[in-house]
Amino acid sequence: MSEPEEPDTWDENLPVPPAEGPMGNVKPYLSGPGSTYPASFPAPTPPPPKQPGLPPSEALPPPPLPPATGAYGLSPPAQPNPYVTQPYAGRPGGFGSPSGPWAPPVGPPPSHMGWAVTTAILCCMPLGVVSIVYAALVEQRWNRGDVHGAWDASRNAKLWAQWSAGSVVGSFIVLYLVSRTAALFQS
Amino acid sequence: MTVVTSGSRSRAMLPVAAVGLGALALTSLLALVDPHEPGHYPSCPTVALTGFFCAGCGTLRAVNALTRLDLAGAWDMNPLFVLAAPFLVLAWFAWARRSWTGTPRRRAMPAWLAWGLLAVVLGFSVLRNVPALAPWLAP
Repeated sequence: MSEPEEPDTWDENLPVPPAEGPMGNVKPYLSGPGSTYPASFPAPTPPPPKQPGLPPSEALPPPPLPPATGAYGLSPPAQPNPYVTQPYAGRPGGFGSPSGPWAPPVGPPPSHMGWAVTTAILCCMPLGVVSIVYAALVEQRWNRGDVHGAWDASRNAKLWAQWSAGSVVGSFIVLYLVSRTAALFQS
Repeated sequence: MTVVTSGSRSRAMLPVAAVGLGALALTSLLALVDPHEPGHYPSCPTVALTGFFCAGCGTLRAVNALTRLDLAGAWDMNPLFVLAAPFLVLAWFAWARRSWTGTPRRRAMPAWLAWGLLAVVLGFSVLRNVPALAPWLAP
């Protein structure tokens, strides 16, 4: 039974003096003067929320923070706008209108669709097509209210467009060097 | 509204200016050195390796034709690029305006349009390799 072990670690982490008894400091919450539980009854309730770190299952659901936007040239918002996590069909004001004194207007992340199409046409097409897919996912996820996923797709769209452009530039440089070396050996 | 300081504005405008100047330099190079003559530019790796035309084949020749205001010649080389070029220029101006004023993007593109672009690029690259459609789509 793990019940007697929990209070030990509990007592170590907290500066409060340890309570006596096998239940540790859980005891005062469960077997106080008005409680109907016996002292040896297993605790039916979760421990009181005193620990600073919640379980990961409870730490995940809060609204997703948009990632750092410094790399995109935008000023990072001080706080996430709670309205942008909802589909904007339900917002009468639409995006861009100030939703409060504390929330700067936050628009959709850059989809890099121009870069994606450009690199798909001008550069390495397979990598550029992947960039188009991610650019389309930016718009789709944003329209569904998935802010975190939209930013994630935005980063990926940028990355794949850079790979598409860089691969073509690199292959041209390699081709040029190979042709020059071949001409050197022929002469 | 977003407060724009001069430092953040110049930092945001730097890639915009770099892309604009790079595109101008590349267009000037393509206007001066004709890609229609073989040997001026390296071949596209896709067509060199696989023998298939990709969606971008003929773009250099199309840009050269556009600098000579030869719209029909550009259309013969790469119709998709001729269609996309005005939107790319507009996207650059919108990017420049956003960077200058410091405002983020307001609207998201409709998802059907984004996926439609993907379908157009993929379909174009497939269709221009079909022999029956080659007179219209192949470079």
